[in-house]
Amino acid sequence: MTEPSSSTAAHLHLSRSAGESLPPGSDPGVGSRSEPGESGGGGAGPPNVLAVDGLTVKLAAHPDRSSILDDVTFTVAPGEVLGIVGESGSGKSVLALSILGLLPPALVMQARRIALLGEDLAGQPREMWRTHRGRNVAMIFQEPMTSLNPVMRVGTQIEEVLRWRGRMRGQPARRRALELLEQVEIPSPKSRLQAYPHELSGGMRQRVMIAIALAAEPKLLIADEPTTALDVTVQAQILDLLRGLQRQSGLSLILITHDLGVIADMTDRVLVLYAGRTAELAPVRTIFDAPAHPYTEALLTAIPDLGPRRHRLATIAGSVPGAMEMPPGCRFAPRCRYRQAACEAAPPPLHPLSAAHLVACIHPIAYVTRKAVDAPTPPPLAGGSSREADRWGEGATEPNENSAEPQ
Amino acid sequence: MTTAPNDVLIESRNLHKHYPARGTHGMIRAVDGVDLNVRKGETLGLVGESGCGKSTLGRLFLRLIEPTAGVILHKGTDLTHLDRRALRQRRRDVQIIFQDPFGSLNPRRTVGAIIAEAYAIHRLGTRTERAGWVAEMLDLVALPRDAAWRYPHEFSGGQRQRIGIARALALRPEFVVCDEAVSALDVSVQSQIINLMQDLQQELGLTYLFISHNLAVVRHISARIAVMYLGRIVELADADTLFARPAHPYTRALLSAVPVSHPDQPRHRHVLPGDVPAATGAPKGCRFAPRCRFAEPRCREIDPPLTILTNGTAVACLLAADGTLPPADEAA
Repeated sequence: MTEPSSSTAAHLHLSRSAGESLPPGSDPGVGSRSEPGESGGGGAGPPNVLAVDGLTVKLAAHPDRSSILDDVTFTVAPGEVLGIVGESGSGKSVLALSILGLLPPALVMQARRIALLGEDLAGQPREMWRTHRGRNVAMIFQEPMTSLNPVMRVGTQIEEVLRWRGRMRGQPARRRALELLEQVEIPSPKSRLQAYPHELSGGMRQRVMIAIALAAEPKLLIADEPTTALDVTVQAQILDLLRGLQRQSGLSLILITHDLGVIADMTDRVLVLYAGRTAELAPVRTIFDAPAHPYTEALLTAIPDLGPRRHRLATIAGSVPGAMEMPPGCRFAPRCRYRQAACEAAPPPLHPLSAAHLVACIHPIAYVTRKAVDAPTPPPLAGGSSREADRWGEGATEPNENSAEPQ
Repeated sequence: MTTAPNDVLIESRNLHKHYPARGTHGMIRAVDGVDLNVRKGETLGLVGESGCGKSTLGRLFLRLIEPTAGVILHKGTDLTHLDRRALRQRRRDVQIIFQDPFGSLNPRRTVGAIIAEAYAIHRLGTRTERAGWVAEMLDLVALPRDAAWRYPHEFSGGQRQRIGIARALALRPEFVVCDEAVSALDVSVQSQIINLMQDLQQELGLTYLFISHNLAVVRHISARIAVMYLGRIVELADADTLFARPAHPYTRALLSAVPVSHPDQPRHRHVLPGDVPAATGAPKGCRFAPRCRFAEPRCREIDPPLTILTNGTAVACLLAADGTLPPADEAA
């Protein structure tokens, strides 16, 4: 764990422009979900459970050459489910660990602000983080077996949290542990209290992890690929459980996944992370119906789904760059089918397309254009001065050399 | 022994693989009576949850493991009774692509040596000829030729899977078992590999047994799909039919558990109670009955045989067979 000193955290100049302060309001397509201002300071809406501003993570050994997370900013409202989607190497798990103050020593973190329940923890000593961990924010991981103590009974592991949080011990703690197992719908919970983790199935272990995470009644639960190791029918059980618990208790949830199906199923808003940067942040329907970032669009078309069968899948050439080999401009540019010279010059700022829709692309895809891309022939363009027109212009004049298969 | 019909490339008959269960006297019936035909040139998808026996079945097809009972017929020849020499000859025709592109490539050998090992084992070609073939294989999977001199750790996951494919295809097999071949890959790379595998199938006339837990991927790539549960095939159907009209209650539950592909898509989820039970001991009757919401008393008595329905679907369910199973509610 590396504690950033307040001096390094305070002044971190990064090229943010348009997205500096997120305007409050909501996308008409989202329904009732609103995006409160960063600190909830406008007086409108409840304060955010979590507000992260300018989170940057680098390798401690190469702070100047590496970049794992770069200037990530987002908020989580009370009762909101925020999905974070990204591939391996996108930094999504590092993001989760940063919020918990649990980064390994090999990584250093800087942030303007990481406010949990209104309390800014950026640059604070580790004791401050510890008071929040487990109590206000809890986390569940992909592989429950690595997070459970193999030589301790399940009941004891739940009671440990209850005791440690200074709430209860003895008989009341035992009763509460049983209640928690019932809440996560473990069959015959009484006997499971006596079980060791290895005696449980994968789905059951994940339920135990959820029970432990909920023991201290956190306001925010971070779930990092909670169902990736599970079979699809068990995944459905766990997602249903998480959704039920979240609705029941008004818990905020950050759901980290590479699975767009889980995103569609569970989340209110989505942050698309690519190579450590926010590519797009929007309400879930906007992400699926009108993705503005070429990476989001590419992800959606690359994945086979249960909809109409396609002859060929769209591909994204190449692979995610490593932390030491980030391109200087837009990090997706080398793989982007819409790439222009300007994309490779400087990182595109995260800017709003609408009140709730942020995108880091200098020529985002408009919904109309995207439809046109799917059509066999591009529609005739008037004027030719819009960004879309520019892109069509380029696409028409030179064949896309980036669409070749080799990586 | 009757010869197989012309279009069947490889098939299993009443195939069993039982393992002694640790710490008990019971047996794990990983594969428990499977009859399955793979037709020449097709992709047969094999889906099921962990522990259902799908990987065991895939390995049995190559005789990488010995069956407890039953036969595997490859173009009419029983693979299970071939001696070592004859089996090695056959192995040129049947190959496997593994899931883990990290664990399945020897880290101490160059990519060229990994691919050329197949030629060495089968004593094919001279040194120069082998080098030429390796270059051809690298071209085939769209890797640069200089990859031959590099080591696996220098490549990304997707590139390593290309190496795995090149190795599997080095001897120009006709039948390839793809065991979770794209499951470990990131989504943006997964589609590249799926497309590559489809192109290679066209180009080389390959037949795939495509094993995966990912129903969407299997649907995309397969012509027919077999659904496995506790060591048995419970349903075998044309891919589109299987997804439009799943006949077996387990298939329905499996399909309904797949997360929706759009936030507004309605969910028809029948969450199955419990987990896949351990495959020890032979339960009387249908193996799925304890978790089936349609189970009747007879289901716990009679082990349902695979029955072919009028639409061509083969299903191992008494109710589906006699038409008393309520229709799937998302029939659209």
